[in-house]
Amino acid sequence: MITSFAAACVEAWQELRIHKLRVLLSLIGVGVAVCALTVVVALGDMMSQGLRETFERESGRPATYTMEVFFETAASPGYTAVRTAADEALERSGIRYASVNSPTSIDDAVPADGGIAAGTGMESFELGAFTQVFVVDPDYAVIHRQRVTAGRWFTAEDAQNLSPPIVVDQLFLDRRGLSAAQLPVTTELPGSGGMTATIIGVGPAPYASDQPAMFLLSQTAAQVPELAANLEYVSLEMWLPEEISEELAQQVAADVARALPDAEVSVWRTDYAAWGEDPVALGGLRTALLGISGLILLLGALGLMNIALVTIQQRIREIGIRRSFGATGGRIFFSVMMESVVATAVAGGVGVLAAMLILKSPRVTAELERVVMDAPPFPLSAALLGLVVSVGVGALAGLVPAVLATRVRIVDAIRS
Amino acid sequence: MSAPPQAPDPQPALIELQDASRSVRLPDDSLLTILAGVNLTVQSGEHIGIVGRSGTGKSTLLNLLGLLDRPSDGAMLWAGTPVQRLSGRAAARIRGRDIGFVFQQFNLLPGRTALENVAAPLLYATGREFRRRKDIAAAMLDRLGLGHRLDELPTNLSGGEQQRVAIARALVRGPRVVLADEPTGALDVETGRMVMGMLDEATRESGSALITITHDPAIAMMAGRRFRLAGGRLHPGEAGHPGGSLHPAACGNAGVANAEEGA
Repeated sequence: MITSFAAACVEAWQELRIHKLRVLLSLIGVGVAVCALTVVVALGDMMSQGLRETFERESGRPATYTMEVFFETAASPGYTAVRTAADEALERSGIRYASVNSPTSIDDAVPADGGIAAGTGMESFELGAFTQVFVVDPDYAVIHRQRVTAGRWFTAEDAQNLSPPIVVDQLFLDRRGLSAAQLPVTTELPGSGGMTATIIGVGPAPYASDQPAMFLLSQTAAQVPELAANLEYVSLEMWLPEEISEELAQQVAADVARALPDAEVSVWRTDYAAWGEDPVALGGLRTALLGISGLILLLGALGLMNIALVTIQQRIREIGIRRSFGATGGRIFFSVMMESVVATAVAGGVGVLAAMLILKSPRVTAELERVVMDAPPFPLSAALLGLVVSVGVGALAGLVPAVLATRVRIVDAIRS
Repeated sequence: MSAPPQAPDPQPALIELQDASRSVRLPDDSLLTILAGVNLTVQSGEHIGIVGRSGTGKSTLLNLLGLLDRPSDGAMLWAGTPVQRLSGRAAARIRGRDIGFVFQQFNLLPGRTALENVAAPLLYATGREFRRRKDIAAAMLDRLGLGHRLDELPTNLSGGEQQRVAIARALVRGPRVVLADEPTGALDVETGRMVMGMLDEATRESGSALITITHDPAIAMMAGRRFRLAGGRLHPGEAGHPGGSLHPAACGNAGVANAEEGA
């Protein structure tokens, strides 16, 4: 058995060595087809992945629930009391990830008289400029896939810092003439009337906007009068296991309602997949892309089979000669298949490499980043698909010639 | 019609055709008989010449003898085993191990060197034969006087050299029988005679039986026994040269004798 396999490899290698031109043609045809297929699939995956990440940054990972606690008829016992009741309920239900998510926008205009200290790079401030403020907890980064490009995100201990930590976007830094290299750096906390804060990290804002963005911890916000007003209405996000999310969410809400009898507590799912449909499945676009890929592949396979069939006609005599040496039909079948598969596997590898180079070229990356926030990495699944498909095409395209080869009438073939 | 009486031998004959026929069904459903009632016994080491014109069933007989086809009527035994009982795989194994073919058009594998061509049948062998295939092939080529042409492609070899490579290839696995189909058909008279002499000598040295199917009576005359194939039937011919030596004079006489016989 091992000898047969080794011998078939020797035969396939001799065949490939002798028919370099045919191998090259196969390489070109299949390589181009696999490259096209891999590019299309990878592009689709990268778009999906990019969109998914964008959605997740905006609305949270599935399943994210938002619980709102507010007091319509009675006075609020204050953010801390509400948060304590909520944290106890979360702990009882074993929920690990929860964060306040209270976005607001504050007027961060430079007074017309230039009241802000000169010499701090405030020249770029404009009248009527707003800053987006995201009041969060450290778990926000997990729930929303929030990341930092420089510095770091919040930790639980940051709430104790004397100088409140904030994470800002690049625009925020630019407006203040700061750079990420200076982190951590102290700045005035917008809307606080003169409080200072320490910028500990830089990361993208949840929404693309021309307003600078800033994240700060809910404990910090509770101490700033202008921002604390925003917390009277507590909006807490929870990241829950999808299968039992609804039960868990209702359980937490009921617990909080019991602890705070005057409160109105409501909870509902708020992530992008809340309506059951996956908006990043790309729907018809994906089907169209797959259809085009299929056609490309079919053309590649047909070209390959064409070459293989023509070659078999030329090789019938050779196959007859091999049969006269004692090659069984099975052995001939295996040899012809093997040549086809070996050639297409090599071609597929080249095609996948070419696809990677294309998708990672600066021009394509720049185009991609116009659609999604960051171009995701080349999907491994697309590379694997390209390779599997190339081997599959080799096997399929080799099948017909291989079957024909086994049916050769030996002496007729030899005398042809 | 039948083989001459044989001395009692406990060993079964190498090949035995007993009233074997081969017919094919034509598109109009009629039956075309290509070989009819052929009786032939081939003993180990025996040299047999079969002469026949085109269309007399030479290819079909070659197919049967080479286990590439089976008789539609009658029986054929390979070393005492009815070929009807052999599976395709078993027949292929026997073909690889025990039968060597020499063809009119040499049929060397294009693009492969002389050494690779001779080593090709050993790709279907196992164990030491497979692993040492290049050494074995080189030794066989050397034996046929081509030790200095191992790495030449067929296109760089003369007709005679190509046929010697083909003979080396047929003999490389030490077959029990060599089937030569018009082995000199593509060679000039002188080269054909030289190549045929080599084939004759090499098979004699290795103890292989040699069955030569040819239209050239002079070539057939070299064999110990010869037959004439006409109209799908095998007729016993005159006794050849028991020694099988290829003496030009003998060839000439044989040619005349056969011409008369054919007429």
